[in-house]
Amino acid sequence: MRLINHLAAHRRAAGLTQAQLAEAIGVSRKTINTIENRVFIPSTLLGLKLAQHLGVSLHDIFELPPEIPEKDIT
Amino acid sequence: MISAHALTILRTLAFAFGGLVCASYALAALAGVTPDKLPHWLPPFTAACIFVVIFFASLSAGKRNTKAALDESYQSDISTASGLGFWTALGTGTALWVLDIGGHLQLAITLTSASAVFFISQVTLDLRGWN
Repeated sequence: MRLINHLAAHRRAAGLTQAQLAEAIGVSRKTINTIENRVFIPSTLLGLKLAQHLGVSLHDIFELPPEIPEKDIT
Repeated sequence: MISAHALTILRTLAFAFGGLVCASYALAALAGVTPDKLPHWLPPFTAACIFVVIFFASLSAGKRNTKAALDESYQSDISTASGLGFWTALGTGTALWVLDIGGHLQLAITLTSASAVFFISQVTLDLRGWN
């Protein structure tokens, strides 16, 4: 399942680099990079840490893609 | 003090070297139809060197940076790499058995190919976060 995320936008809005955000929440820069590039889906705990540090809600960073009605799938 | 990012880079380079050594050993053993002419100590010695390098780099990095380098994306990658190594060992061992290749040649190729796949897949997964 795809997960839409706006981590990069919120991080830039907070004026942080990937390395600074990683350092602040105690993960590697690679983890932040792979989350932003939708390669890695973080745990709930890490998602909450990111949201808390950026001062936004978890739902502001991550959201499920809108469901496509079955009749529209060809 | 080594940063968490530097530690991940060092680990990736060390694993790449380990993968290269193990893959070369497996291919050389297969090509030569015997591992007897190859230095049997090379793969375990390489693994031991990798362990020592990462261990001392982790000591130098400190607890916080080491923990950051071993975070959940690393745990996810290492789990995938271990799984691939496991299935490679099963597949290679079975394939060699079907080909009637047994004994220490089968053991050498199976162990080093599984190790090579583990190291190389870990490196490949690690490289996804390098851009």
